[in-house]
Amino acid sequence: MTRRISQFLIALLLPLALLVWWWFGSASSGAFFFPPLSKILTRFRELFLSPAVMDTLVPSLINLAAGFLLAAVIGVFGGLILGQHPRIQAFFAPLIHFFRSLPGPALLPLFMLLFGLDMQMKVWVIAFTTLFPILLNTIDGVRAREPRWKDVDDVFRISQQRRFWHVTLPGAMPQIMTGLRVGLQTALLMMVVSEMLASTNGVGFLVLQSQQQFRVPDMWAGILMLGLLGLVLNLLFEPIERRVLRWYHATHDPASQ
Amino acid sequence: MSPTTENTTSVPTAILLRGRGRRVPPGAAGSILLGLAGVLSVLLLWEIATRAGWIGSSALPTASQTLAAIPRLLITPEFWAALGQTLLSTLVGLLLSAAIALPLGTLIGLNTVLHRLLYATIEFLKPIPVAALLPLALLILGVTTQMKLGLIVFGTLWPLLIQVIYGIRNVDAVAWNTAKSYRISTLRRFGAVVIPSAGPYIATGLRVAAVTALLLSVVTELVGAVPGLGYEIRRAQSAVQFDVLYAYVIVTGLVGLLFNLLLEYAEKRVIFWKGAAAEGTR
Repeated sequence: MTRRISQFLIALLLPLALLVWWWFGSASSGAFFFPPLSKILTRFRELFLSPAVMDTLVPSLINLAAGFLLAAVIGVFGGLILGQHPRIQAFFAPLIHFFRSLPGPALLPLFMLLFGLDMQMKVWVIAFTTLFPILLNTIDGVRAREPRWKDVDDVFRISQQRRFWHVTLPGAMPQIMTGLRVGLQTALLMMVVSEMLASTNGVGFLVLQSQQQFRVPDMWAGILMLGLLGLVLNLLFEPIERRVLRWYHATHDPASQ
Repeated sequence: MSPTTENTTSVPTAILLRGRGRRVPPGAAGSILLGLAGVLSVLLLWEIATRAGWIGSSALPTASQTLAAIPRLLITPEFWAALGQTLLSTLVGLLLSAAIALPLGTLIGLNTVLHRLLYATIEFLKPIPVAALLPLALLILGVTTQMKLGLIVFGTLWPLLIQVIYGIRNVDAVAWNTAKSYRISTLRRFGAVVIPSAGPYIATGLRVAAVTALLLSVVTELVGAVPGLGYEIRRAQSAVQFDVLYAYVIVTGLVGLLFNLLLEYAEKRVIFWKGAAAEGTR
């Protein structure tokens, strides 16, 4: 236990050193682009820990959550269906591969034209671009199950329904989680870019507008917020993934055998 | 994995399952035909929807207008210049990132102290959305190629570094020590022990980094107005040339698709001894 704690402290050493260096290095900084960290943190508090948050972080989070959840539900359901029906999958395959290869932000001008600049457009564009990594990974997960399992199912005449719940879905789960993790990163990127190009609120808008108006501490505060958001989402996702895939790691991790 | 074992089992199961509607995957030709049908149906639906006025808006040209705009686009020098700028910065950014990540990752992977000290920080830096740094990069470097490359490197470095470290640490210590005790030279040990086991992870890391690099190229062009495909998309939008806009988006998607397929093919050929390893990511 003490060994784990000491390893944890060693891991924190560098980030802490960097923060201290940033704090003192910038304390008396006159450089316009690198204001003192204390000033950035003051603005951070004023922008995100006050009622102003309703115009900065809250709209961003709503767009992100709505877009990601929509994509997750459609992607996993659609992927489970397509993965089990090779013909339907073949029908959609070129379209799916086209859209997963298309850099998502390139679709933004198109969505802006079709849906206007309101919040719904952002949810749609986040959901649309996030859909494809989730869909594709789910399809791969369903199709990549071991062929031997299918023979076992066939020989014992296990019903379609039980087969789905006890073989197909758990077998695809690791890949589904990978798809969701990649999707979350896509959703975050699309949230930031959509707010930069087509918005009047949100953290992405704040960062770009502060830069254009040379409100440098505000820009830094916004960047800090987006970095924290990415970090927190990652930290939240990991225990969920580990929990969902506990059986998988238990059977595949050589250390536990 | 041999096809003969497949055959021996498939005969009895086929008898067992007669009439239960086994889902037989279509053959290669069937897949292509079905895929073609899929693309054509979407184009047809698009054409009908715009002609019948279901999407009653001048913002959506018909499918035929858009498809007709593509060849017109392909003969303009602006298109080829934009494509060249996007691809060049993608490749240069990727090379820079690899030039940093490969030696650094190997060093961190081999050195336990460095690993403990740095790994968590690298994991912290990975999930930062790079687009958030775009305004900062614009402020410091302006609308320049350096700005674009800087963002691409920052966005691709951490995931690539993690893959390299993971791959190097995955090297079998027994194999390494055996080679060492036989006094096989370090260089040959790298070729015979490290590359075969770390190679798949590094290759996957490079492929994912290449896709990310293309994405970040387009993002900086769109938001930061740096020359390239993203900038052309933005310009077509503000010039109200919607057929050109759609044509650009479709061509950008096709370029991305080609890029993806090439990378996947290259990965399979180079790492012929193993399927895609490590954190599978698209």
